Amino acid sequence: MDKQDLIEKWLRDALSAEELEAFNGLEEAPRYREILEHAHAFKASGFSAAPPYEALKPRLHKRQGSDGRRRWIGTMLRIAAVAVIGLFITFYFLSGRTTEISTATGEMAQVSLPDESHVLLNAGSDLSYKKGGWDAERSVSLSGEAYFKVAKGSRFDVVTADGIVSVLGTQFNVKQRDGFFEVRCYEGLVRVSTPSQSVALAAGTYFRVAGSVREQGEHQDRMPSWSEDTSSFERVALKQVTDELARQFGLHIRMDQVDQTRLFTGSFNHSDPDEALEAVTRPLNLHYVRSGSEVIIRPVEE
Amino acid sequence: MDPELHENVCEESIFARLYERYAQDLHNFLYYKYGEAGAPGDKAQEAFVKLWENCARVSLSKAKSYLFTVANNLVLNELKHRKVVLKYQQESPKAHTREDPEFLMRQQEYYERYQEVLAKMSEEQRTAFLLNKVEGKKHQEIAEMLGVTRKVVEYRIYSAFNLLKEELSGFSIK
Repeated sequence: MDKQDLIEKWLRDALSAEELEAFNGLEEAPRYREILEHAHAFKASGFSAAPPYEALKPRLHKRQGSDGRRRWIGTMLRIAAVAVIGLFITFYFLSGRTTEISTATGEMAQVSLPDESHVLLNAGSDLSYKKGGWDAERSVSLSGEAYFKVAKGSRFDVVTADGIVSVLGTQFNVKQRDGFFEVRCYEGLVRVSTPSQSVALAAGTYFRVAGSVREQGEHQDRMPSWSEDTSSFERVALKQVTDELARQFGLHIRMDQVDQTRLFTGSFNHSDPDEALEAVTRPLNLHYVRSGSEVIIRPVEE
Repeated sequence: MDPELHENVCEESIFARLYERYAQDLHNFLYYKYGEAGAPGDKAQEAFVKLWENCARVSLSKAKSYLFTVANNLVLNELKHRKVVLKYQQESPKAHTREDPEFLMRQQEYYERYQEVLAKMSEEQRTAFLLNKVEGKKHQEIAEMLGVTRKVVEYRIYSAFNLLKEELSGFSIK
């Protein structure tokens, strides 16, 4: 068992007796213990604590209010509450429980939807759908990036914070990350609806909203490169690219005197963080320093 | 579902019990995540006020996750609004047990360094790590507080520790 595994298990309190012995045999074990021991110096209760319940009481009754308007709102709220509960109960029985899948940094997940469609979820993304109510409500919620291969003849919606993608037996990729929303269609036809417009995308085309800039165009790819462990970008803001680097390798990237809106075209492989950092910084005439998971990117000094 | 469950949170004795049970956890969670600048005590109370106002719509079983979600959103909204860059709390721990000046100096150095690393790691890593290793919360419990899976919590603790062990290498008080 290697050292990293031992540390990982030790942190989970999951070491067996033999493994514990191996861990204790590590030269650095006392130092590791010391780190956990001294974490207690930062214990919250040493500096700050929740106020007692008595202190909360005045805030509760003040908010309840006694004027007529408030009472009226209270009645309305009560009616609304009953309606919400009613809806919730109906929903609960109709649609069953929500299935949620999340991927951590550097992790991918393969998901099969109830209709035999397949989804490949990129690192740092969340996907959820209702298994029980699939026929009544064919939709999945996505935050992050995913590649969908929809079964022939099947129809559903992908709901994201920035828009809805409606599909009919196709292959497409959705990326929704922090001010960036992109849909690429690889096969068939998808419809993308954002709050301000609705666009039909044929195979070989893409639609993108980056901040306030909308863009539509063509691409030659047959599937998203990340599904083959490479992240590719075409004129994408540097910030989006470094965010992806951070997600794939679990890095913390800081940029110092660098214009983060500069556009980057190129790709990096998910196997080696240094190679990837090099692939991104070199073409933009930037320089990086990495120590563990901390990375600082700066302009190359003249 | 039993409709009486919804009434429960509105009952003051039950509401008070919820406060006794979760207020400190809620405070600690906010404190580790946003430091003192996030006004953890005040925000924890505000979350309870929100729960009280919405007690008819939140069942007892959902009250805990409701509190953590609301509290987290309250701080996020405020920080976005104020554009505050949070630092970890600046006070150094008061744990001087020995009078040896060299020891005290080394201790000071160690804690300062420790504080820097805590400030440097992501708020997710810091929160998970401290809730587990200082507050002794179970992984599953932290996962429920943060609304993520247990695996994610374990990963955050592990990566937080890795950062600490790298950045503190060569430092020791003993």
